[in-house]
Amino acid sequence: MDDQMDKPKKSLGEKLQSVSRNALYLTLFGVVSISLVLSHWMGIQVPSQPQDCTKDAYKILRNIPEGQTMVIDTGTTNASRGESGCQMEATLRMMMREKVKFVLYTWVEPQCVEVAKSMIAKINVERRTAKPPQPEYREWDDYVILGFFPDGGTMLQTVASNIREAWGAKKEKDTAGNERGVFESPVLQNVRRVEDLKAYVPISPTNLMPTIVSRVGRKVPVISMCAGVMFPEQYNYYKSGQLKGLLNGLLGAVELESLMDKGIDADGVVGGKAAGAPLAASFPGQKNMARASDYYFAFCCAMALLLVTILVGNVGMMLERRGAR
Amino acid sequence: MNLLAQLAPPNTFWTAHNGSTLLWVEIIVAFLLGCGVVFGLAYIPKELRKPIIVTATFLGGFYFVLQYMWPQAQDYTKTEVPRNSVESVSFWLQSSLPTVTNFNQVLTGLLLGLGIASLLRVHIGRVVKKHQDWPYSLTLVISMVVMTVFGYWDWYSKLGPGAEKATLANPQIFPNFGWNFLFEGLFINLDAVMYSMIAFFIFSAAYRSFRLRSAEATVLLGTAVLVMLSLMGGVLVGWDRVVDALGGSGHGAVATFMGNFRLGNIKDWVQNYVQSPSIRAIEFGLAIGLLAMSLRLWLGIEKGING
Repeated sequence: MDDQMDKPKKSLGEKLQSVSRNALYLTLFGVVSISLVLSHWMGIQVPSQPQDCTKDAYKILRNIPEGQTMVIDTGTTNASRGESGCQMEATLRMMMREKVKFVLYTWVEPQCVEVAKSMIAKINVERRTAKPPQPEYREWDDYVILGFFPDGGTMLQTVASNIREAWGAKKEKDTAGNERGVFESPVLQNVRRVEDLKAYVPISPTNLMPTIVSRVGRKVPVISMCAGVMFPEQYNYYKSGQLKGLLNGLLGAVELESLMDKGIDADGVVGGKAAGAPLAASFPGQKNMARASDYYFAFCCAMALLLVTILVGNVGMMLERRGAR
Repeated sequence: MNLLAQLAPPNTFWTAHNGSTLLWVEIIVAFLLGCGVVFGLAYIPKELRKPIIVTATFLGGFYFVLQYMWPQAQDYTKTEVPRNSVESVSFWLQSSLPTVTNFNQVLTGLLLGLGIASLLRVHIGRVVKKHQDWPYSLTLVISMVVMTVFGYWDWYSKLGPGAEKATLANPQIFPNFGWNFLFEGLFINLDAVMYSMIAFFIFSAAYRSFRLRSAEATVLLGTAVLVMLSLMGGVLVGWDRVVDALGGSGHGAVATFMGNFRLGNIKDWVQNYVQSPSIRAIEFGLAIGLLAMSLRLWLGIEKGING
């Protein structure tokens, strides 16, 4: 009782600087949850201005000819669903619409392949239930899964030197249930050298770039889809030309969805209507603004809340200093 | 002429058919040999261990140094005959790379196994001796065993020898259900929860540490705020519209002085002229350090390598 009476009363400045951790956590939880629900229910679309690195990525991915093959090197787990998950879904949607075949594997974590399979299944359901229905993407005919490579560095070294030797031991069951080498599949039957792959897309929150660009970067266009925290580091690889495109976490995924919706016209303007063949066409009338756009409003609200709390702390510090004088 | 000859390798000791007895025997023998080598190394005298590890490390490293440094043959095929000793080495390097890669995959897989064995040894020991917080260890062991059992059971029922190929859209026998429940239902959601908790810590840390205490802190905070604002699409678009309305440049228009104050341009300037060069410098420093460390490991002069 005496202790409570002796306790000096906090000034406003001190109070503003010492907001309890629990109150901060609760505020963040409330703001993110409410904004996420609102965004989903009301379809709130926050505008975005795609960066050059995202536009470059989109131009390459959008212009892969039908029936050609690319690689998705996944490091996506559900821990990074907010960033890599959104990027993965947008990329899969694009590839399936363009009828581009892909090879999927991981050397980050064994679970990444399982997570990717779930996403493929989800988008297949989306395609099946679309109006008009679109054909599902089928393992073996449209994509192959090579699984987990414990040592990605040496595997990529061999891929660069001799892709058929590197993946030659991998087998998959064909649509009839017979086990066959993956190079017999429609996905890889025409791939004889790494240069035959039209793009190499690592989708991972971890930084795989030093390994990837040094092994295959000179032979196939590498487009990195990384987490926001890795973007500044990987941006150097983009600026030096070792990466042909780069997506910046959730923002990059939102920009990619926005580009799928608007396209890039002949003058390089997003959503422009210039005459001539567009540099990268949009996908009109399809579900382009998806998971990333759903999350983006909540992300912006969290960012705004962060700025407000930083402001509150600094105002408190200034008030306290003024009081001390 | 069989153009796809390389797709159907002859059934030799090295290419035993999936599911065959020979393959199983090979796997078991290789596993036992691998374990024997690992445990053997752990029990032999240190004086004998050191030269073995140093030699193996040097040879392994030397192979990959050669891979990078030695002139590579372009469009090499296995039927080509080398014209000189340089080409002989080059051809050997290229033809042996897939074998070395496969060996590396197996070796790294074995290391994963070692990790699992070590984890089990530690936690089973804690459970048996009833150490503090032993129920957590028990949970870990049970989770690992149950996940492994259902994982293999599911795999075997879908893709094992003689199994009909099932898809995610077309499950659902018991092992598939069990695996889906454990992996999709529990694990990946817990994984997401663990990661999302970081946001709360970052939020609290930013509130307490981002204070204008000095000139350096002010510059840092100012830059961070600009970058954060640029990540918010609505703010970015709104800011740039205001600048454009004040006489700045629109997309494709001739640049004006006011155009410098577009948020996107400020962010690009920070990104291209402040952030990237700084990170590049740090990366160069790290790479040189890594190179020095790699050389020490390769040449066997790093103390830790000798066990």
